[in-house]
Amino acid sequence: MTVHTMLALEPFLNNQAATTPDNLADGRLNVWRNSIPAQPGPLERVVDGVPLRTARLDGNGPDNVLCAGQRIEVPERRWDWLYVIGCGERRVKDVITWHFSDGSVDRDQLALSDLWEGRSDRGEELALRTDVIHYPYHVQERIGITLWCQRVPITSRQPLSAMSLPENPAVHLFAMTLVGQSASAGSEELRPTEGEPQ
Amino acid sequence: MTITGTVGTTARPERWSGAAGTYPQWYEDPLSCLQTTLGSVLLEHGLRPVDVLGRSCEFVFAPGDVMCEEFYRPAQGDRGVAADLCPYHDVESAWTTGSTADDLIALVEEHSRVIVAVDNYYLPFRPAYQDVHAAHLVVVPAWRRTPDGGVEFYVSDAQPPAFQGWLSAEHLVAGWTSGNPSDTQDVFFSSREIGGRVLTTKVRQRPEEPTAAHVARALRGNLDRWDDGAAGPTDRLWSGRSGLRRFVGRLTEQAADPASLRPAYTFGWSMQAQAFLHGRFAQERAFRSGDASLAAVAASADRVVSAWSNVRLLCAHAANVPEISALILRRGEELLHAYEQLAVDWRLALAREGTDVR
Repeated sequence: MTVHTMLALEPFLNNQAATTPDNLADGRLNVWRNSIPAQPGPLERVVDGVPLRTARLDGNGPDNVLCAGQRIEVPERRWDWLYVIGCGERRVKDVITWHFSDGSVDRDQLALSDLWEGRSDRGEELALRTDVIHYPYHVQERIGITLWCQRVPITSRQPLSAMSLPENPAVHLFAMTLVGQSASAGSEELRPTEGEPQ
Repeated sequence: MTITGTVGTTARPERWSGAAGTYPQWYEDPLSCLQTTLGSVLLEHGLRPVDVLGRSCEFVFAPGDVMCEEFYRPAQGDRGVAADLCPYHDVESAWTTGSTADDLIALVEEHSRVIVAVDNYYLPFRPAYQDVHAAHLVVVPAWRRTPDGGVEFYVSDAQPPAFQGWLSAEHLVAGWTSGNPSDTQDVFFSSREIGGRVLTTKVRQRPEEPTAAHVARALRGNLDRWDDGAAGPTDRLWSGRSGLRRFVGRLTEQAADPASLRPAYTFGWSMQAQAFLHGRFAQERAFRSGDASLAAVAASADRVVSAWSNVRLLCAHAANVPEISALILRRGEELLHAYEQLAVDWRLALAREGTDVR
Protein backbone atom coordinates (compact mmCIF):
# COMPACT_ATOMS: atom_id res chain seq x y z
CA MET A 1 0.00 0.00 0.00
CA THR A 2 1.02 3.54 -0.50
CA VAL A 3 0.74 6.71 1.44
CA HIS A 4 0.84 10.14 -0.03
CA THR A 5 0.96 13.76 0.95
CA MET A 6 -0.23 16.65 -1.14
CA LEU A 7 2.26 19.47 -0.70
CA ALA A 8 0.84 22.88 0.07
CA LEU A 9 2.10 25.14 -2.70
CA GLU A 10 0.23 28.26 -1.60
CA PRO A 11 3.30 29.85 0.02
CA PHE A 12 5.22 29.43 -3.23
CA LEU A 13 2.69 30.61 -5.83
CA ASN A 14 4.48 33.24 -7.89
CA ASN A 15 3.01 33.06 -11.39
CA GLN A 16 -0.41 33.50 -12.94
CA ALA A 17 -1.49 30.91 -15.51
CA ALA A 18 -5.26 31.53 -15.57
CA THR A 19 -7.04 34.68 -16.66
CA THR A 20 -10.58 35.80 -17.36
CA PRO A 21 -11.74 37.87 -20.34
CA ASP A 22 -11.45 40.86 -18.02
CA ASN A 23 -7.77 40.46 -17.17
CA LEU A 24 -6.30 38.70 -20.20
CA ALA A 25 -3.09 40.70 -19.96
CA ASP A 26 -2.27 39.34 -16.49
CA GLY A 27 -1.24 35.90 -17.77
CA ARG A 28 2.41 34.93 -17.53
CA LEU A 29 2.63 31.36 -18.81
CA ASN A 30 5.22 32.21 -21.46
CA VAL A 31 7.07 35.02 -23.17
CA TRP A 32 3.94 35.87 -25.16
CA ARG A 33 1.99 36.24 -21.90
CA ASN A 34 -0.42 33.52 -22.94
CA SER A 35 -2.73 32.09 -20.30
CA ILE A 36 -5.45 29.51 -19.78
CA PRO A 37 -9.10 30.36 -19.32
CA ALA A 38 -10.04 30.49 -15.65
CA GLN A 39 -11.39 27.18 -14.36
CA PRO A 40 -14.41 26.74 -12.09
CA GLY A 41 -12.22 25.42 -9.28
CA PRO A 42 -8.94 23.69 -8.55
CA LEU A 43 -8.03 20.86 -10.92
CA GLU A 44 -8.28 17.52 -9.19
CA ARG A 45 -6.75 14.53 -10.89
CA VAL A 46 -5.90 10.99 -9.85
CA VAL A 47 -2.99 9.32 -11.65
CA ASP A 48 -1.88 5.79 -10.74
CA GLY A 49 -4.13 6.14 -7.70
CA VAL A 50 -2.25 9.28 -6.65
CA PRO A 51 -4.38 12.38 -6.09
CA LEU A 52 -3.23 15.75 -7.35
CA ARG A 53 -4.90 19.06 -6.63
CA THR A 54 -3.95 22.49 -7.90
CA ALA A 55 -4.56 25.84 -6.33
CA ARG A 56 -7.67 27.66 -7.49
CA LEU A 57 -7.39 28.62 -11.14
CA ASP A 58 -9.95 31.42 -11.01
CA GLY A 59 -7.87 33.97 -12.88
CA ASN A 60 -7.35 36.04 -9.78
CA GLY A 61 -3.69 36.19 -8.86
CA PRO A 62 -0.86 33.67 -8.73
CA ASP A 63 -1.91 30.05 -9.19
CA ASN A 64 1.30 28.15 -9.95
CA VAL A 65 4.96 27.93 -9.05
CA LEU A 66 7.45 29.20 -11.58
CA CYS A 67 10.56 27.29 -10.64
CA ALA A 68 13.24 29.53 -9.16
CA GLY A 69 15.09 27.22 -6.81
CA GLN A 70 12.44 27.24 -4.08
CA ARG A 71 13.16 24.93 -1.16
CA ILE A 72 10.11 23.01 0.03
CA GLU A 73 10.14 21.16 3.32
CA VAL A 74 8.32 17.83 3.28
CA PRO A 75 7.03 15.43 5.93
CA GLU A 76 10.15 13.51 6.82
CA ARG A 77 10.10 9.89 5.75
CA ARG A 78 11.17 7.78 2.85
CA TRP A 79 9.29 8.80 -0.30
CA ASP A 80 9.42 7.01 -3.66
CA TRP A 81 7.84 9.34 -6.18
CA LEU A 82 6.91 12.95 -6.64
CA TYR A 83 3.80 13.31 -8.81
CA VAL A 84 3.19 16.72 -10.31
CA ILE A 85 0.86 18.71 -12.50
CA GLY A 86 3.01 21.01 -14.58
CA CYS A 87 4.01 22.24 -17.99
CA GLY A 88 7.06 23.47 -19.81
CA GLU A 89 7.49 26.55 -21.92
CA ARG A 90 8.79 24.32 -24.70
CA ARG A 91 9.77 20.76 -23.82
CA VAL A 92 11.94 20.88 -20.74
CA LYS A 93 14.09 18.58 -18.67
CA ASP A 94 15.60 19.71 -15.44
CA VAL A 95 16.35 18.28 -12.02
CA ILE A 96 14.71 18.25 -8.62
CA THR A 97 17.29 18.32 -5.84
CA TRP A 98 16.48 16.12 -2.86
CA HIS A 99 17.73 16.96 0.64
CA PHE A 100 17.79 13.89 2.86
CA SER A 101 17.65 13.71 6.62
CA ASP A 102 21.22 12.45 6.90
CA GLY A 103 22.54 15.46 4.98
CA SER A 104 22.99 13.64 1.69
CA VAL A 105 21.85 15.31 -1.51
CA ASP A 106 20.75 13.80 -4.80
CA ARG A 107 18.99 14.83 -7.97
CA ASP A 108 16.43 13.18 -10.22
CA GLN A 109 15.10 14.32 -13.52
CA LEU A 110 11.87 16.22 -14.08
CA ALA A 111 10.65 16.13 -17.70
CA LEU A 112 7.67 18.15 -18.85
CA SER A 113 6.16 18.56 -22.28
CA ASP A 114 5.30 21.81 -23.99
CA LEU A 115 2.31 23.79 -22.78
CA TRP A 116 1.62 25.37 -26.21
CA GLU A 117 -0.05 22.83 -28.51
CA GLY A 118 2.37 20.34 -27.02
CA ARG A 119 2.65 16.66 -27.67
CA SER A 120 4.05 14.26 -25.14
CA ASP A 121 6.68 11.68 -25.97
CA ARG A 122 6.88 10.73 -22.32
CA GLY A 123 3.61 9.02 -21.58
CA GLU A 124 2.28 11.91 -19.56
CA GLU A 125 -1.44 12.07 -18.91
CA LEU A 126 -3.36 15.25 -19.55
CA ALA A 127 -4.23 17.28 -16.50
CA LEU A 128 -5.95 19.90 -18.65
CA ARG A 129 -6.27 20.62 -22.34
CA THR A 130 -7.96 23.88 -23.17
CA ASP A 131 -9.89 24.61 -26.37
CA VAL A 132 -8.73 28.19 -26.51
CA ILE A 133 -5.70 30.16 -25.45
CA HIS A 134 -5.71 33.60 -23.92
CA TYR A 135 -3.52 36.28 -25.47
CA PRO A 136 -3.02 39.64 -23.76
CA TYR A 137 -5.62 41.27 -26.01
CA HIS A 138 -7.76 38.49 -27.39
CA VAL A 139 -9.04 34.96 -26.93
CA GLN A 140 -7.67 32.63 -29.59
CA GLU A 141 -9.66 29.62 -30.70
CA ARG A 142 -8.21 26.41 -32.11
CA ILE A 143 -5.02 26.57 -30.05
CA GLY A 144 -4.84 24.70 -26.77
CA ILE A 145 -2.72 24.83 -23.67
CA THR A 146 -1.90 21.58 -21.95
CA LEU A 147 -1.07 20.96 -18.33
CA TRP A 148 0.52 17.55 -17.85
CA CYS A 149 0.54 14.95 -15.09
CA GLN A 150 4.11 13.76 -14.62
CA ARG A 151 6.15 11.93 -12.00
CA VAL A 152 9.72 12.12 -10.73
CA PRO A 153 11.45 9.19 -9.05
CA ILE A 154 13.23 9.63 -5.74
CA THR A 155 16.01 7.16 -6.33
CA SER A 156 17.71 7.40 -2.96
CA ARG A 157 16.03 5.39 -0.23
CA GLN A 158 17.10 7.78 2.51
CA PRO A 159 14.42 9.60 4.48
CA LEU A 160 13.65 12.86 2.67
CA SER A 161 13.34 16.16 4.46
CA ALA A 162 13.13 18.77 1.71
CA MET A 163 13.45 19.38 -2.01
CA SER A 164 14.72 22.25 -4.12
CA LEU A 165 13.01 23.09 -7.37
CA PRO A 166 15.15 23.86 -10.39
CA GLU A 167 16.05 27.43 -11.24
CA ASN A 168 14.24 27.46 -14.52
CA PRO A 169 11.72 30.05 -15.77
CA ALA A 170 10.43 27.52 -18.31
CA VAL A 171 9.03 25.16 -15.65
CA HIS A 172 5.58 25.71 -14.13
CA LEU A 173 4.26 23.47 -11.35
CA PHE A 174 0.62 23.48 -10.27
CA ALA A 175 0.38 20.53 -7.90
CA MET A 176 2.78 18.18 -6.11
CA THR A 177 2.08 14.96 -4.27
CA LEU A 178 4.67 12.70 -2.66
CA VAL A 179 4.07 8.97 -2.69
CA GLY A 180 5.74 6.31 -0.56
CA GLN A 181 5.28 2.81 0.68
CA SER A 182 3.07 2.38 3.70
CA ALA A 183 4.94 1.34 6.83
CA SER A 184 2.40 -1.43 7.31
CA ALA A 185 3.61 -4.85 6.28
CA GLY A 186 1.67 -7.72 4.86
CA SER A 187 -1.68 -7.46 3.22
CA GLU A 188 -3.32 -5.14 5.64
CA GLU A 189 -5.74 -2.96 3.75
CA LEU A 190 -4.72 0.61 4.36
CA ARG A 191 -6.49 3.43 2.67
CA PRO A 192 -4.19 6.08 1.29
CA THR A 193 -4.27 9.01 3.63
CA GLU A 194 -3.54 12.61 3.09
CA GLY A 195 -0.68 13.96 5.07
CA GLU A 196 2.01 12.20 6.98
CA PRO A 197 0.65 9.04 8.62
CA GLN A 198 1.59 8.91 12.29
CA MET B 1 0.18 14.67 -42.09
CA THR B 2 -0.16 13.19 -45.52
CA ILE B 3 2.46 10.99 -47.08
CA THR B 4 1.40 10.23 -50.57
CA GLY B 5 1.92 6.96 -52.32
CA THR B 6 4.94 8.34 -54.09
CA VAL B 7 7.33 7.07 -51.42
CA GLY B 8 9.62 4.53 -52.98
CA THR B 9 8.85 5.54 -56.54
CA THR B 10 10.92 7.71 -58.80
CA ALA B 11 8.07 9.70 -60.29
CA ARG B 12 8.12 13.36 -59.43
CA PRO B 13 4.63 14.30 -58.30
CA GLU B 14 2.53 16.37 -60.59
CA ARG B 15 2.33 19.96 -59.57
CA TRP B 16 -0.02 20.31 -56.62
CA SER B 17 -3.28 21.77 -57.81
CA GLY B 18 -5.69 21.35 -54.96
CA ALA B 19 -7.70 18.88 -56.99
CA ALA B 20 -6.17 15.96 -55.11
CA GLY B 21 -7.13 17.25 -51.68
CA THR B 22 -5.21 19.07 -49.01
CA TYR B 23 -1.64 20.25 -49.24
CA PRO B 24 0.68 18.05 -47.12
CA GLN B 25 1.37 19.51 -43.70
CA TRP B 26 3.70 18.43 -40.95
CA TYR B 27 4.18 19.74 -37.43
CA GLU B 28 5.93 18.82 -34.19
CA ASP B 29 6.01 21.21 -31.26
CA PRO B 30 9.80 21.82 -31.29
CA LEU B 31 9.73 22.92 -34.93
CA SER B 32 9.64 26.42 -36.31
CA CYS B 33 8.04 27.47 -39.57
CA LEU B 34 11.40 26.98 -41.29
CA GLN B 35 11.27 23.22 -40.79
CA THR B 36 7.51 22.83 -41.18
CA THR B 37 7.41 24.68 -44.51
CA LEU B 38 10.43 22.82 -45.89
CA GLY B 39 8.92 19.61 -44.53
CA SER B 40 5.75 20.25 -46.51
CA VAL B 41 7.74 20.75 -49.69
CA LEU B 42 9.65 17.52 -49.02
CA LEU B 43 6.36 15.69 -48.46
CA GLU B 44 5.08 17.06 -51.74
CA HIS B 45 8.06 15.34 -53.38
CA GLY B 46 7.37 12.06 -51.62
CA LEU B 47 10.17 12.45 -49.09
CA ARG B 48 9.81 11.86 -45.35
CA PRO B 49 10.86 15.09 -43.58
CA VAL B 50 12.44 13.27 -40.64
CA ASP B 51 14.60 11.17 -43.00
CA VAL B 52 15.86 14.28 -44.78
CA LEU B 53 15.88 17.07 -42.17
CA GLY B 54 16.85 14.70 -39.35
CA ARG B 55 20.24 13.58 -40.60
CA SER B 56 22.28 16.66 -39.93
CA CYS B 57 22.81 18.08 -36.46
CA GLU B 58 25.31 20.81 -35.83
CA PHE B 59 25.99 24.07 -34.10
CA VAL B 60 26.43 27.14 -36.25
CA PHE B 61 26.11 30.77 -35.18
CA ALA B 62 26.69 34.04 -37.01
CA PRO B 63 27.52 36.67 -34.38
CA GLY B 64 27.03 39.56 -36.79
CA ASP B 65 23.51 38.61 -37.89
CA VAL B 66 20.30 40.28 -36.78
CA MET B 67 18.09 37.53 -35.38
CA CYS B 68 14.47 38.53 -35.06
CA GLU B 69 12.54 36.07 -37.19
CA GLU B 70 11.07 32.71 -36.31
CA PHE B 71 12.70 31.24 -39.41
CA TYR B 72 16.15 32.74 -38.81
CA ARG B 73 19.07 30.41 -39.39
CA PRO B 74 22.64 31.43 -40.13
CA ALA B 75 23.40 31.12 -43.83
CA GLN B 76 26.19 28.63 -44.48
CA GLY B 77 26.65 27.33 -48.01
CA ASP B 78 25.85 28.89 -51.36
CA ARG B 79 22.95 26.54 -52.07
CA GLY B 80 20.61 28.11 -49.58
CA VAL B 81 19.12 27.26 -46.23
CA ALA B 82 17.44 24.11 -47.54
CA ALA B 83 20.83 22.72 -48.58
CA ASP B 84 22.29 23.79 -45.21
CA LEU B 85 19.57 21.79 -43.47
CA CYS B 86 19.71 18.82 -45.87
CA PRO B 87 23.43 18.37 -46.64
CA TYR B 88 22.97 14.70 -47.48
CA HIS B 89 20.24 15.24 -50.09
CA ASP B 90 19.88 16.98 -53.41
CA VAL B 91 17.83 19.86 -52.07
CA GLU B 92 18.54 23.55 -52.38
CA SER B 93 16.85 26.90 -51.99
CA ALA B 94 17.27 30.56 -52.79
CA TRP B 95 15.74 33.76 -51.48
CA THR B 96 14.22 36.15 -53.97
CA THR B 97 11.86 39.07 -53.65
CA GLY B 98 8.77 40.56 -55.24
CA SER B 99 6.21 43.18 -54.37
CA THR B 100 2.97 42.60 -56.26
CA ALA B 101 0.44 39.82 -56.68
CA ASP B 102 1.64 39.42 -60.27
CA ASP B 103 5.20 38.91 -59.00
CA LEU B 104 3.98 36.18 -56.70
CA ILE B 105 1.92 34.54 -59.45
CA ALA B 106 5.03 34.46 -61.63
CA LEU B 107 7.06 32.88 -58.84
CA VAL B 108 4.43 30.21 -58.20
CA GLU B 109 4.24 29.49 -61.92
CA GLU B 110 8.01 29.20 -62.20
CA HIS B 111 8.68 27.15 -59.08
CA SER B 112 5.42 25.19 -58.65
CA ARG B 113 5.27 26.24 -55.00
CA VAL B 114 7.08 28.87 -53.00
CA ILE B 115 7.65 29.57 -49.33
CA VAL B 116 6.51 33.10 -48.60
CA ALA B 117 7.68 35.30 -45.74
CA VAL B 118 4.78 37.10 -44.08
CA ASP B 119 3.89 39.34 -41.18
CA ASN B 120 1.25 37.50 -39.15
CA TYR B 121 -0.45 40.80 -38.41
CA TYR B 122 -2.12 40.62 -41.84
CA LEU B 123 -3.13 36.96 -41.93
CA PRO B 124 -6.69 36.32 -40.69
CA PHE B 125 -5.90 32.75 -39.62
CA ARG B 126 -2.97 33.68 -37.37
CA PRO B 127 -3.46 34.47 -33.66
CA ALA B 128 -1.50 37.68 -34.20
CA TYR B 129 -3.98 38.98 -36.82
CA GLN B 130 -4.57 42.70 -36.39
CA ASP B 131 -2.77 42.43 -33.07
CA VAL B 132 0.95 41.66 -33.19
CA HIS B 133 3.60 42.07 -35.87
CA ALA B 134 5.63 38.86 -36.20
CA ALA B 135 7.57 37.28 -39.06
CA HIS B 136 6.51 33.85 -40.29
CA LEU B 137 6.69 31.50 -43.30
CA VAL B 138 3.84 29.86 -45.20
CA VAL B 139 3.77 27.65 -48.29
CA VAL B 140 1.95 28.94 -51.35
CA PRO B 141 1.48 26.09 -53.85
CA ALA B 142 -1.19 27.57 -56.13
CA TRP B 143 -3.10 30.65 -57.22
CA ARG B 144 -6.39 31.27 -59.04
CA ARG B 145 -8.61 33.99 -60.39
CA THR B 146 -11.95 34.49 -58.73
CA PRO B 147 -15.17 35.01 -60.72
CA ASP B 148 -15.02 38.74 -60.00
CA GLY B 149 -11.53 39.02 -61.45
CA GLY B 150 -9.64 39.03 -58.17
CA VAL B 151 -6.69 36.84 -57.31
CA GLU B 152 -6.44 34.29 -54.52
CA PHE B 153 -3.45 32.28 -53.34
CA TYR B 154 -3.61 28.88 -51.70
CA VAL B 155 -1.85 29.21 -48.35
CA SER B 156 -0.64 26.34 -46.19
CA ASP B 157 0.51 26.95 -42.62
CA ALA B 158 1.14 23.87 -40.47
CA GLN B 159 1.93 25.84 -37.30
CA PRO B 160 -1.01 25.85 -34.87
CA PRO B 161 -3.78 26.70 -35.33
CA ALA B 162 -2.91 25.07 -38.70
CA PHE B 163 -4.61 26.54 -41.72
CA GLN B 164 -4.81 25.86 -45.39
CA GLY B 165 -7.08 27.35 -47.95
CA TRP B 166 -7.58 30.16 -50.43
CA LEU B 167 -6.70 33.62 -49.26
CA SER B 168 -7.23 36.88 -51.08
CA ALA B 169 -4.15 38.38 -52.68
CA GLU B 170 -4.86 41.52 -50.71
CA HIS B 171 -4.28 39.80 -47.36
CA LEU B 172 -1.28 37.79 -48.46
CA VAL B 173 0.50 40.63 -50.25
CA ALA B 174 -0.09 42.95 -47.30
CA GLY B 175 1.67 40.44 -45.03
CA TRP B 176 4.34 39.71 -47.62
CA THR B 177 5.30 43.34 -48.09
CA SER B 178 4.89 44.44 -44.48
CA GLY B 179 7.45 46.59 -42.78
CA ASN B 180 6.96 44.33 -39.73
CA PRO B 181 7.66 47.21 -37.37
CA SER B 182 9.13 46.70 -33.95
CA ASP B 183 6.39 45.43 -31.64
CA THR B 184 6.61 45.45 -27.88
CA GLN B 185 4.28 42.46 -27.75
CA ASP B 186 6.74 40.43 -29.76
CA VAL B 187 10.25 41.65 -29.28
CA PHE B 188 11.57 38.35 -30.60
CA PHE B 189 10.04 38.15 -34.05
CA SER B 190 9.32 41.73 -35.06
CA SER B 191 11.34 44.69 -36.34
CA ARG B 192 12.76 43.30 -39.54
CA GLU B 193 11.03 44.24 -42.77
CA ILE B 194 9.41 41.28 -44.55
CA GLY B 195 10.25 42.98 -47.81
CA GLY B 196 8.52 40.64 -50.23
CA ARG B 197 10.88 37.77 -49.53
CA VAL B 198 10.21 34.37 -51.07
CA LEU B 199 12.14 31.16 -50.58
CA THR B 200 12.22 29.03 -53.71
CA THR B 201 13.24 25.40 -53.49
CA LYS B 202 14.60 22.72 -55.77
CA VAL B 203 14.13 19.12 -54.68
CA ARG B 204 15.77 16.70 -57.08
CA GLN B 205 16.19 13.99 -54.49
CA ARG B 206 14.33 10.74 -55.18
CA PRO B 207 12.65 9.02 -52.27
CA GLU B 208 14.72 6.21 -50.80
CA GLU B 209 14.75 4.23 -47.59
CA PRO B 210 17.73 5.23 -45.42
CA THR B 211 20.40 2.54 -45.26
CA ALA B 212 23.03 1.87 -42.61
CA ALA B 213 25.55 3.53 -44.92
CA HIS B 214 23.36 6.64 -45.13
CA VAL B 215 23.16 6.78 -41.35
CA ALA B 216 26.91 6.32 -40.96
CA ARG B 217 27.60 9.06 -43.50
CA ALA B 218 25.33 11.44 -41.61
CA LEU B 219 26.91 10.69 -38.24
CA ARG B 220 30.40 10.97 -39.73
CA GLY B 221 29.57 14.37 -41.20
CA ASN B 222 28.02 15.58 -37.97
CA LEU B 223 31.02 14.45 -35.97
CA ASP B 224 33.45 16.06 -38.40
CA ARG B 225 31.58 19.36 -38.32
CA TRP B 226 31.58 19.24 -34.52
CA ASP B 227 35.30 18.47 -34.31
CA ASP B 228 36.37 20.80 -37.11
CA GLY B 229 34.28 23.81 -36.10
CA ALA B 230 35.85 27.23 -35.95
CA ALA B 231 35.33 30.48 -34.10
CA GLY B 232 38.28 32.62 -34.98
CA PRO B 233 38.34 36.42 -34.89
CA THR B 234 37.66 36.66 -38.63
CA ASP B 235 35.17 33.79 -38.93
CA ARG B 236 31.71 34.95 -39.98
CA LEU B 237 30.33 31.69 -38.61
CA TRP B 238 31.11 30.14 -35.26
CA SER B 239 30.61 26.43 -35.67
CA GLY B 240 31.05 23.08 -34.01
CA ARG B 241 32.67 22.63 -30.63
CA SER B 242 34.80 25.78 -30.93
CA GLY B 243 31.81 27.80 -32.04
CA LEU B 244 29.56 26.65 -29.22
CA ARG B 245 32.31 27.30 -26.66
CA ARG B 246 32.67 30.83 -27.90
CA PHE B 247 28.89 31.28 -28.07
CA VAL B 248 28.54 30.19 -24.45
CA GLY B 249 31.32 32.56 -23.44
CA ARG B 250 29.51 35.35 -25.25
CA LEU B 251 26.25 34.58 -23.43
CA THR B 252 28.09 34.80 -20.13
CA GLU B 253 29.46 38.21 -21.09
CA GLN B 254 26.03 39.38 -22.28
CA ALA B 255 24.40 38.45 -18.99
CA ALA B 256 25.36 41.90 -17.70
CA ASP B 257 22.78 43.28 -20.14
CA PRO B 258 19.85 40.84 -20.04
CA ALA B 259 18.10 42.35 -23.08
CA SER B 260 21.11 41.44 -25.19
CA LEU B 261 20.43 37.76 -24.48
CA ARG B 262 17.07 37.82 -26.29
CA PRO B 263 18.37 36.89 -29.75
CA ALA B 264 19.57 33.56 -28.34
CA TYR B 265 15.91 32.63 -27.92
CA THR B 266 15.26 33.24 -31.60
CA PHE B 267 18.51 31.81 -32.90
CA GLY B 268 18.28 28.73 -30.70
CA TRP B 269 14.99 27.67 -32.22
CA SER B 270 16.53 26.45 -35.46
CA MET B 271 19.34 24.63 -33.64
CA GLN B 272 16.89 23.04 -31.21
CA ALA B 273 14.52 21.96 -33.95
CA GLN B 274 17.37 20.33 -35.86
CA ALA B 275 18.53 18.44 -32.77
CA PHE B 276 14.95 17.27 -32.22
CA LEU B 277 14.68 15.96 -35.77
CA HIS B 278 18.07 14.28 -35.54
CA GLY B 279 16.97 12.55 -32.36
CA ARG B 280 13.75 11.42 -34.01
CA PHE B 281 15.68 10.13 -37.02
CA ALA B 282 18.15 8.21 -34.82
CA GLN B 283 15.29 6.86 -32.72
CA GLU B 284 13.48 5.54 -35.78
CA ARG B 285 16.64 3.94 -37.20
CA ALA B 286 17.47 2.42 -33.80
CA PHE B 287 13.98 1.03 -33.48
CA ARG B 288 14.19 -0.61 -36.90
CA SER B 289 17.73 -1.91 -36.61
CA GLY B 290 17.90 -2.71 -32.90
CA ASP B 291 21.18 -0.80 -32.80
CA ALA B 292 21.62 0.33 -29.19
CA SER B 293 24.29 2.82 -30.17
CA LEU B 294 21.78 4.65 -32.36
CA ALA B 295 19.33 4.65 -29.46
CA ALA B 296 22.06 6.33 -27.43
CA VAL B 297 22.39 8.96 -30.16
CA ALA B 298 18.64 9.53 -29.95
CA ALA B 299 18.71 9.95 -26.18
CA SER B 300 21.68 12.30 -26.34
CA ALA B 301 20.02 14.39 -29.04
CA ASP B 302 17.00 14.69 -26.76
CA ARG B 303 19.27 16.10 -24.07
CA VAL B 304 20.48 18.69 -26.55
CA VAL B 305 16.84 19.62 -27.22
CA SER B 306 16.19 20.04 -23.50
CA ALA B 307 19.41 21.98 -22.96
CA TRP B 308 18.33 24.36 -25.72
CA SER B 309 14.98 24.91 -24.00
CA ASN B 310 16.83 25.82 -20.83
CA VAL B 311 19.14 28.25 -22.62
CA ARG B 312 16.47 29.75 -24.85
CA LEU B 313 13.90 30.37 -22.15
CA LEU B 314 16.44 31.65 -19.67
CA CYS B 315 17.59 34.17 -22.29
CA ALA B 316 14.01 35.12 -23.14
CA HIS B 317 13.13 35.72 -19.48
CA ALA B 318 16.55 37.03 -18.47
CA ALA B 319 15.33 40.48 -17.48
CA ASN B 320 13.15 38.90 -14.77
CA VAL B 321 15.64 36.34 -13.51
CA PRO B 322 17.79 37.17 -10.48
CA GLU B 323 21.36 35.95 -10.61
CA ILE B 324 21.21 35.61 -14.36
CA SER B 325 25.00 35.54 -14.66
CA ALA B 326 25.38 32.39 -12.61
CA LEU B 327 22.45 30.70 -14.30
CA ILE B 328 23.54 31.49 -17.81
CA LEU B 329 26.90 29.92 -17.07
CA ARG B 330 25.18 26.79 -15.80
CA ARG B 331 22.85 26.54 -18.78
CA GLY B 332 25.51 27.33 -21.32
CA GLU B 333 27.78 24.63 -19.96
CA GLU B 334 24.85 22.23 -19.87
CA LEU B 335 24.30 22.85 -23.59
CA LEU B 336 27.97 22.38 -24.38
CA HIS B 337 28.05 19.17 -22.39
CA ALA B 338 24.91 17.89 -24.12
CA TYR B 339 26.42 18.41 -27.58
CA GLU B 340 29.71 16.89 -26.45
CA GLN B 341 27.91 13.81 -25.20
CA LEU B 342 26.03 13.57 -28.48
CA ALA B 343 29.35 13.74 -30.32
CA VAL B 344 30.66 10.89 -28.18
CA ASP B 345 27.61 8.85 -29.11
CA TRP B 346 28.13 9.62 -32.82
CA ARG B 347 31.69 8.36 -32.42
CA LEU B 348 30.62 5.21 -30.61
CA ALA B 349 27.87 4.49 -33.14
CA LEU B 350 30.39 4.87 -35.95
CA ALA B 351 32.83 2.58 -34.19
CA ARG B 352 30.10 -0.01 -33.97
CA GLU B 353 29.50 0.38 -37.68
CA GLY B 354 33.14 -0.54 -38.20
CA THR B 355 33.68 2.85 -39.75
CA ASP B 356 37.05 4.49 -39.41
CA VAL B 357 37.00 6.70 -36.35
CA ARG B 358 39.68 9.27 -35.83
